[in-house]
Amino acid sequence: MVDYRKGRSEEDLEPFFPNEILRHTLLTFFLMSAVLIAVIVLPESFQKSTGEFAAFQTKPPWYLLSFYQLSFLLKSKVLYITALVVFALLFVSIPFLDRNPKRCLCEKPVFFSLVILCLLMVIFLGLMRFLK
Amino acid sequence: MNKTFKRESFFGFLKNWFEERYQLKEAIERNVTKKQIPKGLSWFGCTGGLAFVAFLLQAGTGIFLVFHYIPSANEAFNSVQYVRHAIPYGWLIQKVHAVTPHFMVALVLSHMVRILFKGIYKKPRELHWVSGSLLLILTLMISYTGTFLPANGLSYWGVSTAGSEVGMPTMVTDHSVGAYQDGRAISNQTFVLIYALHIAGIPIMMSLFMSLHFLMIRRTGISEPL
Repeated sequence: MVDYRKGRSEEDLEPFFPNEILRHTLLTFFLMSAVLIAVIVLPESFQKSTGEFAAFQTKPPWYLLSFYQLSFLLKSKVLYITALVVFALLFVSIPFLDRNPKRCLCEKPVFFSLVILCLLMVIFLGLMRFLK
Repeated sequence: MNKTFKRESFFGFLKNWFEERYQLKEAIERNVTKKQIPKGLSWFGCTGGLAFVAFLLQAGTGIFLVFHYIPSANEAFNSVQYVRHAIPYGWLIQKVHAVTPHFMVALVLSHMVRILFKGIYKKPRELHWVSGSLLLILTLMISYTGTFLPANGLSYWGVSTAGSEVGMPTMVTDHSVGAYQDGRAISNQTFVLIYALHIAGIPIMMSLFMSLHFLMIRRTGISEPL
């Protein structure tokens, strides 16, 4: 296991306990509070599914909206699944595709533009489905 | 006084018993109390850990729901209603299980975006990214299968929209589209299939990738602050 003390002075280090543990504990409490607030605040359409009314009264969760919109745009089943698989493969293999030695994304203009374009595309697709 | 003495000696005995066998004190000192980490770590670096907390929350509430949910076309909706209305605090546990995926997906996404923008996936952490991105895909899949199970309006939306148009995600939904749209022949097998994926197939894969992810982080250490 890695030893962070190697090659560092005492000033560059801080104790894992309690500093990091406290950070995680505090944020865990924030998360639990947010979940409980969402339980109270978020509306829920809990009606039995039938073709008569359910389809136009509920919307899918926000994180699936872009997938649904893409499925709507690409009519061919094969094309849609191929697009998803290709996108997933590219996403998974980012470390092997990015050969630029610089670390920060803002220092790589081409890659930066591609990432921003992809993010905007996902948001745009989701918004298109949401506003439908 | 005598009682306190007995309690202390009992806990002392237990402590010694475990210490003798597993040397826990040394492990705790090495990994927690005497561990030093680089200064200046961002609070945003905790999003991965928080996503894990959300996963644990889902596992905990999910285990409760497993005892009451019936994966059948006729009973699924009613069994969830039973949990919500007939079991003490069932509504709370069911709703927590229903809303936590929003947080879980948001946390995994923000974790990935941060790593992408900071280039933390660079050598020697390439496989951290691979396991993390697979975990994101599995998180989306488990959330999708979860929306299907209660057989409510949202479930119908999922299969009617994505399923009828292109069969998302692949053949699983093809079955469910038939199940909903035929009307007369709703397949229980479809529910069992998606239920099995939701409670066993995907969580087991997620646990495996999470173990690898955490193990690799332990081996390489966290990334230096930029």
